[in-house]
Amino acid sequence: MTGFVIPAVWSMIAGAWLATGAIHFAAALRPPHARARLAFSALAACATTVAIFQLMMLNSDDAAEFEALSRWMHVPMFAIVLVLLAFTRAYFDAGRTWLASVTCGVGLVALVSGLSPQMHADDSHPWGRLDDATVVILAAYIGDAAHACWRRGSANERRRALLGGASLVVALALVALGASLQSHASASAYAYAIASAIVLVTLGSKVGARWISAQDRFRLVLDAASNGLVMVDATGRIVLANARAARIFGYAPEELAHATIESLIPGARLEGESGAARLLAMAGDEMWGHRRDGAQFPLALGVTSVEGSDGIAALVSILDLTERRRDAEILRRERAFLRQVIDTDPNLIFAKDRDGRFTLANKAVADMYGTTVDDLLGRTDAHFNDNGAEVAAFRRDDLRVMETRGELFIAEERITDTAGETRYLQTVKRPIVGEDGIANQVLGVSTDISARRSAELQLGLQRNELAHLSRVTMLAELSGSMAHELNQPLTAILSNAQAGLRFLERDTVSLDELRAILEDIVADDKRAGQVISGLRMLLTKGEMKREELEVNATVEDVLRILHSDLVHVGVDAKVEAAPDLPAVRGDRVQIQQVLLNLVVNACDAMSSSPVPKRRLLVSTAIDDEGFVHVSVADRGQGIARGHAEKIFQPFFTTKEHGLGMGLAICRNIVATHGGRLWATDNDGGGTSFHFTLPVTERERA
Amino acid sequence: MSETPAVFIVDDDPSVLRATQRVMRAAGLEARAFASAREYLDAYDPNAPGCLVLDLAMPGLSGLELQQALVARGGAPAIVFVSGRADVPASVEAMKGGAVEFLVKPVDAAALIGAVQAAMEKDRILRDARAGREQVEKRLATLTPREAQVLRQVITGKLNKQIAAELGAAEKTIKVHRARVMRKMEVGSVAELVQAAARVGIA
Repeated sequence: MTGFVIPAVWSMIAGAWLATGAIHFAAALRPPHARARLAFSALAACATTVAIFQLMMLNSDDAAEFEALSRWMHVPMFAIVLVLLAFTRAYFDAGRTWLASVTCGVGLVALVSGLSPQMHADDSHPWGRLDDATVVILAAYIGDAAHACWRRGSANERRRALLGGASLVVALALVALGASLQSHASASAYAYAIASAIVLVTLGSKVGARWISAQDRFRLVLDAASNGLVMVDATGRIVLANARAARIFGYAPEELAHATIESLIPGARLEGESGAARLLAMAGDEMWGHRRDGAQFPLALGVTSVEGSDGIAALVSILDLTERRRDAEILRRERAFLRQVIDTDPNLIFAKDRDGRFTLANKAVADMYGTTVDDLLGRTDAHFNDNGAEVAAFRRDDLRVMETRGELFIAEERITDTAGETRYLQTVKRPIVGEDGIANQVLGVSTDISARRSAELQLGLQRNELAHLSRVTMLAELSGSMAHELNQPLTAILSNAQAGLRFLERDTVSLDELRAILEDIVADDKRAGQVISGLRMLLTKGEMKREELEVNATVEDVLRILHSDLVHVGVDAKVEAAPDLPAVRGDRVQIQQVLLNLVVNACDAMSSSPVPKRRLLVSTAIDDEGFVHVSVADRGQGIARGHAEKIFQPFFTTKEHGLGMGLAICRNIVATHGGRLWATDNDGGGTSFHFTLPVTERERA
Repeated sequence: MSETPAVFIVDDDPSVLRATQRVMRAAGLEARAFASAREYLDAYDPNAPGCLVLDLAMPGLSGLELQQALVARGGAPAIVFVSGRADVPASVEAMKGGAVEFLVKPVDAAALIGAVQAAMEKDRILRDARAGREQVEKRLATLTPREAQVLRQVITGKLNKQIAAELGAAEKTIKVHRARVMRKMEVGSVAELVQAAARVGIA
């Protein structure tokens, strides 16, 4: 029976080896695992050779032939060792080179000793044990390579290490041990044959490969998840964790297995029956995770109960809130910073919607209304401001900005603050246009100009005082002239009255004559009154007035005041007044003062000229820009070269008793009226002073 | 040539001018008004009797300038200056120029009338003096050269005999000449003759 079965089995094994070897050789021509398949096909060839040798040995009757066969069988067996080494190297992509070298060396020695007839004949010769040693060292090499492969960690690698490595080693070890009692050469052959069979099974294990690749896909999905995912059993022990979960807690993926969820997230533990387990958060909503390095971090948990399979009770999703918190913190800080910036700004910054409700306000606005920014938001001006006119004005401007979608500059507006005081604001309002192109909010920035305004008023007051002082000084100089001007009507009145008395003493009184006298007295009295009121006006100190005034009439007024003086100093004054000159807006007294100054200066300039040359011309006109232009031209000595602008500086004077303020003040007065004052040389000698006055007050844009 | 003396008033202020004119009329004086020195100068008649009430400060030709212009023409009428201010240098100059009075406005009517009357009186005297001088000169013109020689000797108080010796003529002849001179000069005594001669500057 045995004599028939064994040869049949051996021939079948040889055939199978040859067939599968051919298949794998063909497959080796295509990737992957090309080298492993190539090694396997070589292994199959060797195994077939061994099987043929065994078959031939069974069929040999001659002892010498059997002995020769058994010697030469060492060659394919050594080939098997080499091929197994190559296969292991290619399949596990691991293994220590020195172990492979030792295996090679020992196998070579075993081959040499096996081929030697003397040594081979003696079964008890120690060299014969070299075959077994080769198997053991090979097993060690394979085992080491498989272990290295296992340690690389991926499921596929572990599967490969377990299936291939462990079974190969175990098989080699068992067979080598069991067969050591029999013919060692045959035992080794069996061992290699079984090992080769295992390799065949390993490579061809299609079912295992398919199951494993489903596992791989699952892992891939798990690892790709942005959240940490952990599967726990009913005791809270971690069954599976994805790469993200491991990274969150600072562990390697395999290190998380068998840890408990509570060790990672204190206070989180499962409760309830398996299948209806839920994770309890002990510290309220706020959950903290412990990293490997001891650091704590905020996290959010999502728990899905799993209907108990494989002992898994729940799938826990873990979201590391650190970055989210950091982003929120950055946002919060930026908002706080911006809030601080706008609160530090002394200007009033605000935004309002179509209903007039504050959508933004800074501290300055809140302070103005005596409240807090938070209280302000959502409320309207009317809530804080009792002055209906102001509120209506704000509302009108806001709506106008939103309607026109254009910027609005408000040079000055009033607001009543919480203390009931009136403040003055200069405001710019701009529309906030949404993506739909509609302006539903208005942004405003207001500067409190109350202080500046009062400073300006103060400055104006000082300017007025200075102008007044200058006027009084000038009038003191002109007092002789002024007295004479008053003296004329008084003289006429006295004479008329005394003449009237004398007429009355006559026997026949002419009533017509008396009426004429009295009419003249009335007229002269009025004339004296005018002189006095003009004088009083010039002496009056007061705020600058803006009234309609006729420049030509003002010129006449001034020349009348100066009439006696002009006569006295022998100046021939002429007026060339432009007809239909438009009225200007200004302060009559101040414009008179400017004219007085210019005319008196002109007279002074001509004091050293011969009398016939003392000619003065005051002319009025309308210039190209629509300003009223007044010029006072003299025939005097002119202005020294280089003094053309200096004369307008304060305290510059060429006169012995001059203050040097006259022209500086005049220029200031004209500038305040919106005009200009300058001097030019006349062609025929002398100087002309010019000043312009705007016809209407310019509207600020 | 008007025989009635008049007050000529020159003032650039029409109101003052009119009032001054009334004062003069109230005092019974003939008054004529001029609004400027130039106007007066244009109408100036040296033979018109009367006086001038002149404003000192006027545009164009001033009061002093008018006075000087009149002096340059050979004699100004009696002038009463009125001025708005008590201008000492101007008043000195005016008085030097022969002004009768320098009044400061406002002028009291009585003072003005008094000054004007004084000026009128002065004008009358001046005119009389001028008229007497002209008469003497006219009479002198009728004398022969010899009679004129005799006149010059007579007014020095010389006797006929002395004159005859001086001129180399007979005493009797001198006596005839002397009688003719007395008759032509229309004087009754040597004293009168001396007075007449003095009027025309013959000493």
